[in-house]
Amino acid sequence: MSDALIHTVVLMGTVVSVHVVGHGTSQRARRERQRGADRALAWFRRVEAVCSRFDASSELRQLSTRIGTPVVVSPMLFQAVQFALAVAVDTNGAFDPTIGVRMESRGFNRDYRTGADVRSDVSATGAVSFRDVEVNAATHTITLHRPLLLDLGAVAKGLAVDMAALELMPFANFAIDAGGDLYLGGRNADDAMWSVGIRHPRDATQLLDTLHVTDRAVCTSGDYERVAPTMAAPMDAAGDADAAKVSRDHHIIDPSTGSAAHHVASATVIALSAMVADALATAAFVLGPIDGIALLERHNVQGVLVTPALERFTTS
Amino acid sequence: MASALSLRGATAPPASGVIPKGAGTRGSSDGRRNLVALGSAAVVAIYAAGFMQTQSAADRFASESAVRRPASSVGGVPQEDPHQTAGASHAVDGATGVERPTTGPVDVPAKGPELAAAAAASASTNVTAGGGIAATPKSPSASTIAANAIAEPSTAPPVVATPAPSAVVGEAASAATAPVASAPVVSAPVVSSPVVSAPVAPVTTAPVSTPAAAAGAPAATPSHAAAAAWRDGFFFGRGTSRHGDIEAMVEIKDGRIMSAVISQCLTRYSCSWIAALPGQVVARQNADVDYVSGATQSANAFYYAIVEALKQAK
Repeated sequence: MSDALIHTVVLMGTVVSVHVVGHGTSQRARRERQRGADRALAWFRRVEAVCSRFDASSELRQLSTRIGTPVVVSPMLFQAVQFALAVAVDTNGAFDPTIGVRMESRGFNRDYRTGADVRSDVSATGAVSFRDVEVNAATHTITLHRPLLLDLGAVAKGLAVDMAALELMPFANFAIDAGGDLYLGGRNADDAMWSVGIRHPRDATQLLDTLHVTDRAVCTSGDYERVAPTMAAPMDAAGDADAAKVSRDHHIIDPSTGSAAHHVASATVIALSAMVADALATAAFVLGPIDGIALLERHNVQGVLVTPALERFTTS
Repeated sequence: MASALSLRGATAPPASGVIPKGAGTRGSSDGRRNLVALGSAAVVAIYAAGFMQTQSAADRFASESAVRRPASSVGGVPQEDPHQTAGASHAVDGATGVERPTTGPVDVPAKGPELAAAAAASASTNVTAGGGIAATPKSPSASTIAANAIAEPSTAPPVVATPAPSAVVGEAASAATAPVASAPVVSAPVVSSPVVSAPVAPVTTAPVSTPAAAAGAPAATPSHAAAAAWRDGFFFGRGTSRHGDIEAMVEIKDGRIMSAVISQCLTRYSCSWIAALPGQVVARQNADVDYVSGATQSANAFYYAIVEALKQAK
């Protein structure tokens, strides 16, 4: 019997799996691993409760009801928003956390837990951007200067993975998989580096590449991931050949155009933090292969971008 | 970079060199920020701020462990009450989201060997530099790509705002190499775990981790060795996705995977688009690589269904 612990649950709209490589089969060792996995998964629930765009009671949604006034927020929301804004500034808005309402208007408003359509009361008046959000580190406040709904989708999942990774760090050897956003700690059960396949963007049966990593996060943004509900019907017949057609309207929006970004089919980033990897993968996806790679290199992270024509660009 | 400084100042404004000065980004179009450093600092700050809540569950476990130690040393460990575990976990959840700035800084430095290690790991690319990443293209389309397309940068990143103390870096390094080191080192990460109180740990964890490590064998059950131990027969596993469940059936003969099929497709959409996955499993005699980045939804469901089925075969 294996002494590893693999705990899988559905959280944050995806399948989250925590895998602690075991050393020891005693009840005590097992219990420690179980406790560690429980605490790691608890972070996902905590992040979701703060950062969910789908839950009207989330701190994020509460924030969107108070326009024009500084709101004291929790450290988690503050740090997440501050980081998202920093990425927005760094990418001149190629990454922009204020696209929440536009996501809603494109149909990304279904709560995975209930299947119910969820829509905030925020009505967008004209184009909003990250410049309409102000964070104050001294007072720990966030001010929304115009009615807008923040979307931390490209940050929150990575953040949760990072929290879980910190929680599992004492076990040294572990893996966290949040719907393809990964953190691989230490080594696998074979005492080798973790092998990570990158899903081929046009053929779910193929891997684009296999990486061997340790103590790294690996996140991929793909145009095949969350297809807009208006486009979901073709998935019924989606064979490999149809995958490309399906991907025309996906979940990664180019803030400059308001519609889906199309220069990149898949962007994978390997970094020390999943939050960084997730955000930079999303930003690189929007920026396109040339500027995207430049962004990754500027921040000293590794990555591979694949265009819809399957041309590949990697960091040097 | 997550320095010890930012750890202690978890809820204070992060280092001024990283964050836009004063209030906000409004109208600021100034230079590039070090996103890696900022991200790492944010992660550690959030963890530290939320640590107190997690800590309550850990403390409870530590006290339970202390009480239980005599029993454990004679070989009998009372069965954990699963409800207690669940209760502790829910208590953590219940307090979600309202972490106040007053919680973190007080306790974190004392509690945080693993935090420090994590921070150092986050902080220092060069700790594991060179050991990092090697790309081995497997798909046909990869053939034109250089194998080392994604190579670890050899230059130390200029991202370390405050260099991590060398002692902390050392700790991170030893944690990273623990699996190939000797028994005491293997147990070290466990000792530093917040769930184990220090006095208890050496007594109970050392004997546990010694045999595997001292034998010079891979410390945990290797999956390939486990593969040989698969029982013959048909095994079922179920994977869940937002679109529904997938049930996979794996046939084991002579300890090898003979076939893997989707035995039930309960998703809202046709399973035809993942129909080729079962063949892949047979070819690799495993549920693919360790993990797949970017694989979501039903593909994941199949993966977990196979993992589940293979678990049954052990």
